[in-house]
Amino acid sequence: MHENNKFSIFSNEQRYQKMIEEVEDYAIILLNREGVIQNWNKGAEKIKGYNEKEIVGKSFSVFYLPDDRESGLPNKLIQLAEDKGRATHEGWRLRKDGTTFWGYVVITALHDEHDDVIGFTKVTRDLTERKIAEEQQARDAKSIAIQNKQLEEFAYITSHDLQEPIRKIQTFAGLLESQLDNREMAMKYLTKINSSAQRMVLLIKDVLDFSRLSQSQEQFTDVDLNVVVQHVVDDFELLIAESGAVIQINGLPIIRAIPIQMQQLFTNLISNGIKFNTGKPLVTISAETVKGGNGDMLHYHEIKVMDNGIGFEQQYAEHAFQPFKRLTNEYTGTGIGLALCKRIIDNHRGVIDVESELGKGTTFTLLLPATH
Amino acid sequence: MSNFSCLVIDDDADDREIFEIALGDAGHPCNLQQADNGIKALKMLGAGDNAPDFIFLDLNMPLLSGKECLQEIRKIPALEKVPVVIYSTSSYSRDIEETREMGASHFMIKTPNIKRLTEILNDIFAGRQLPYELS
Repeated sequence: MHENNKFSIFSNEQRYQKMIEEVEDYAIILLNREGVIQNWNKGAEKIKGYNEKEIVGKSFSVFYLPDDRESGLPNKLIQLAEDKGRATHEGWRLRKDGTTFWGYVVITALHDEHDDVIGFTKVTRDLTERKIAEEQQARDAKSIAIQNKQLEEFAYITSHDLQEPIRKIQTFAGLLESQLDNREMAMKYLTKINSSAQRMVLLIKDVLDFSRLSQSQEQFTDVDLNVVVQHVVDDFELLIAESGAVIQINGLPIIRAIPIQMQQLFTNLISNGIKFNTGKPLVTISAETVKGGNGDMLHYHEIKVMDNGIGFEQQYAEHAFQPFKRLTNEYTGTGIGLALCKRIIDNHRGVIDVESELGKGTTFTLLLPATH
Repeated sequence: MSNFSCLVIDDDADDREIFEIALGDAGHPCNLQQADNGIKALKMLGAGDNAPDFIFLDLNMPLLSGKECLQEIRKIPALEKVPVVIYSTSSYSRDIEETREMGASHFMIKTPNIKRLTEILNDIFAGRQLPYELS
């Protein structure tokens, strides 16, 4: 009874005000018709970080991100509330300290006795934790889908490509058995058995490289691509000397990347440029910074790896990045190199594209997000 | 018995050679034509005027895959009755089903046993009733 008595000293209006002021889980604020903040409660202070003195008298648009302010989102919402009586919205909002939270907002129009709008109440809940959990769930689902697809690819590879050299070894061993007295033929089949076994070793190594590609965040570090490419060129010293190849490198950037994967990427691209070439190979690697298209605010490093090799008809470009899809049978290879490049670029949230012309050469274009 | 003609389409030179050896051991004299990719094979087939009696087709090939090549062959009216036998390392169930739907006559899984390959070829040439999948 005592408590009741204490509470009853307040007028109805005061009680009402108290009720709103003390709510901590919701920001409940009053806006005038123009969206200027009239009052503030504990929840608003807790969620948005401003105290009452700092914020009353300012426009509620300060809670919106610069992009949303530019697109006129705050005004659209109060206009909608004015027309329909109510507007709801979910999105990232700004706190006083510049950090963001995921807000669920309901704006309700307030009317006078003539049914004219006199202002708005705005109730905001901080649903950041839920939003982050949802995003994590979506990422997990996507990652499971990707892993399933990779498993399926792997099953196909083992059911097909890895069986081929073994079958050939069995076949040539059978032929060898039937030709044991013919020394020349026996030698021929032995050579074929050896080269099939060698191919098997190469395939297993490539499949392992391919399936071991991880994308764990801890492995990302600042990588100077000039250094990476120089290492690759050093590794190819012999091949470059034999073919008379020239590798030109023009000012490559430093990027956030997994160093070993950058090494694998440029090893494949450069060796393709040298290998698939009938003349004196020239491989040019250059870079510039470009802006992403279509509302994409990010900047990208656009890296071009251009060669003067045999090229291929552009219509086969989509095959180029699929595992074990080869564009020629006149050169050795396992057909995994460009599939590996594609997966590395995927891991780095980039894009890889190829343009080629038969007899003229091939240009690979890599887009990698620039973090600085 | 009159000469058969066969076209084998396979990018792998070893596999074409193995096929040729097995065919040589078969009981029928046979003219063998070879193509190392599907595009060359389609050029050789043309409008189908000099149609071979049998076509043997690998699946995993550069440029034009065996499945794409099969679809192109099945568009040529003069080749409607020519059996196309898939000749592949794959024993992947989806490959077997898809090629059957695309109009292949048989799916022959490449066997390491040349004698067995010769037996299968003889069964095919003799027109014996055979299952779709051969190995």
